[in-house]
Amino acid sequence: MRIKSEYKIRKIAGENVIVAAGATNVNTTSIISFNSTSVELWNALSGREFEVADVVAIIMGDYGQSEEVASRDAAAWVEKLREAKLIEE
Amino acid sequence: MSLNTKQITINNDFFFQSVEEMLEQGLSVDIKVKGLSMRPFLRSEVDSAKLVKVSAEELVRGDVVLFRNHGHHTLHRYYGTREGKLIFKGDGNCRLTELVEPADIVARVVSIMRPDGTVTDYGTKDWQRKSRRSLWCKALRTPIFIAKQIVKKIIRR
Repeated sequence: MRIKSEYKIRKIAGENVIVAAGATNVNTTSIISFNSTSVELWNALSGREFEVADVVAIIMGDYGQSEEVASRDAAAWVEKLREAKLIEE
Repeated sequence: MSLNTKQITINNDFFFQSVEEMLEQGLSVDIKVKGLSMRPFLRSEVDSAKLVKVSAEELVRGDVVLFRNHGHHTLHRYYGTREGKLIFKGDGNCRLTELVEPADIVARVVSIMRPDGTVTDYGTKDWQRKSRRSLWCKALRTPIFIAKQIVKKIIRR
């Protein structure tokens, strides 16, 4: 899977939000707010193919979580992105 | 550890501050319309509007414009000038008129996006037809509004 290239993180009203942002247009009609951990994952995984296992590895490596916790959080995070149609399979 | 995305409510004034920054960067910005004052041309929480930065000198009568209004932002229709100020009215407002300084003009609506994916672009026949219909609704509503006000005054006596 891959994060859709048209979605970018922008700081709007002090919040990190994901918006559809092309070279000339920003769509704020549907915005999703990310906490700092999600922002770091997004930045680490943008622009490349990845699997849930890659998300698990980042969470375990950067945040020292057990595999069980990391797997649960990674699956939930990817599912949120899928629901919001932010990733292409 | 929390990874979840979250639903947030962004303060309108801070939101439009960010919109202005993006417009200043030369970007167009799509916003969801909120408020009843431009109905039926723009439907609250239903339609979206694409904004492009504009100056007061570029405005044409009938344009739908975002402007700063007593510390807030308003999206209303432009009617002309009076003593150096610009006159705006909402299609859904029967009496209220705003007088705005040229420096407070922010952006012009260049497209309206409906939830079904229909896009109406500025200046097209469809745009003009929708504007006419909206202004006809306003023309019909205004005498009803005035009649209601008169009836209320009579009842109070």
